[in-house]
Amino acid sequence: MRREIPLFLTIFFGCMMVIGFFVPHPIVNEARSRVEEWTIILAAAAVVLGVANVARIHMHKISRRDRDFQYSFPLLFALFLMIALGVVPKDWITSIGFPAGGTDEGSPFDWLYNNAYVPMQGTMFALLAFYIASAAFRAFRIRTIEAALLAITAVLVMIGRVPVGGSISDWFNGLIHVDLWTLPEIQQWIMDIPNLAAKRAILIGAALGAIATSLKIILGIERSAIGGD
Amino acid sequence: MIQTRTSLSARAGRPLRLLGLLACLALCAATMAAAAVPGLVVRDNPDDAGEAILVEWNGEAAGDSVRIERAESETGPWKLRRALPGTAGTYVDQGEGGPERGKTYFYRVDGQVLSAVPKAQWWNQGRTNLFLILMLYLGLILVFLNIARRGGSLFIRKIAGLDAMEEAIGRATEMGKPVLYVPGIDDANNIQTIYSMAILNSVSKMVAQYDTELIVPLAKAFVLPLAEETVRSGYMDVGRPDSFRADNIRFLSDEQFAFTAAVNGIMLREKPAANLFLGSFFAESLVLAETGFTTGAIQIAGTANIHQLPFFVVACDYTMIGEEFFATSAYLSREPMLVGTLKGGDMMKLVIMIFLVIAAIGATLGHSEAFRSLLVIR
Repeated sequence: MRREIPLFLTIFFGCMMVIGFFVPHPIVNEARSRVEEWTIILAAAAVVLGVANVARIHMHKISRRDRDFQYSFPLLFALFLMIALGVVPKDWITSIGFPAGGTDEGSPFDWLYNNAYVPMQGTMFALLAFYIASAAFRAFRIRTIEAALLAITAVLVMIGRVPVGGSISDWFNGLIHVDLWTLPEIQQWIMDIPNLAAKRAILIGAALGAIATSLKIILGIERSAIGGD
Repeated sequence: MIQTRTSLSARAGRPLRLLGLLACLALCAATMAAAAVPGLVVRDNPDDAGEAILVEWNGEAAGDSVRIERAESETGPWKLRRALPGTAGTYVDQGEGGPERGKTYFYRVDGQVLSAVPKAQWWNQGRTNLFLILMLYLGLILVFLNIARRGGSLFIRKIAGLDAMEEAIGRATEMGKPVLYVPGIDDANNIQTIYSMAILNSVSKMVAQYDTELIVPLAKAFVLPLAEETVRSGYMDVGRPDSFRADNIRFLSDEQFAFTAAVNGIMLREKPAANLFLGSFFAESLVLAETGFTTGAIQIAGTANIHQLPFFVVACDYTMIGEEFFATSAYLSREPMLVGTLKGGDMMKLVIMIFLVIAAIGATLGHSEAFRSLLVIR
């Protein structure tokens, strides 16, 4: 029964969602909306599981004195501080001199979010620029014919996408007095024709794979996703 | 006398003629008003739950503007629903203050009054084409499933990334280091995340057989019980339930870059020998893959998010592109049922390719609308 019940629920609700897509009648649609509401409630309840998981793992780490266990202290402190600031009554917070409580604008929760979390997130995102540079350096090393093609195409697209690309083309066409394709036109052609064709091919394949997988799960052919063979 | 009589009758007939003229003018005005909305039709909006009424007219022949009023009885009171340019041609009365299912509504459009009753439909005809395509796909899957069940040999091409998976886990075992499995950052309602759980099941079996540590960081709390159960059942299936460590299934954060920072921390501190990124990834893909590259781990990635594929291709040793990702469990398990569904998918691709070739020829010959109309979904 440990595997049959989840399988039955998967098949039942999966079929309900598919039928709801084709049947607009309120009897079906309202049931479908209700199930979607349940999902939201379940997802909200799952946050409690998530917090419990974080707390358990880091408390174990501290109690076992695992490697780098000292980092778990600030993590648990930040976790419980943010929870406390978010859930304690607003007037408690305002009574100790803060302009607002809860998660309102001006509350300590809001201040910490904007002045601690947002800058840290921005820092992580900004790292992407350096990672792109290092990844591009490796990708454009010409070792094979394919790598050479990739590098040439990338250079054409990159130069064609910046204003200097147009200026170079105009200068060169003026120099040889021939109206050749400009770099912006070349990059546009690359993006619109070969690039788009490849992207759509991958997209069609991925979409069919997604549909087949959904059907396999709904029909109970693929059971490993629900913890069974 | 006659002249007098005539002039008298003429004098007497003047008001009558005036009345006649006014009547003519009123008739003409009424006719013109009716002509302002030619081809007016008021009917139940098709393919919906019975909460809309469709007002249609010939937009090309209509006047400058069209006033649409609604009442619950033929005599009113009338309430203006919308004034639209005559060229609009259609108006769907729905949403806030819209019609209720089963009630009769009267619509006055520039003087003309027509009625309709909104009704709920049991079938969305605008999606019949999609249903037929889905049935064809399902049919193909069932046919190949049957072939696979009867023991027919079905060929799957080599996927290097999947062949390397066991090698990567073996390497981690030899080095005594853990395997890191990241199932993306999307929630359990994304098919990629669900499918990633299916792959995680196969990976956890391999890892359990080799008795290697498996770390699964998660970005969504909803996926946590799913991942925990999947890994536990993988360990149980190979008879090593005692090797399962619940602390290695870690919910980190549902904020994208907080999760990324935490996974990077795991990679730099615990130095996994194999990093598997299989699921739905976004901007964090390159940050994760590049950090993994600097630690020297074997990296295998797979996603159907095509905008992230270039990053994985550059930074990982093997990348499963789009459909290859969805072939993973069939490839790893070689289970006939799963391989059969994979072949069904391949056949559907063949059908699509044939359709695309025919449609391209048709469009070249000037019939693009006919093919496009086959694929319109409402």
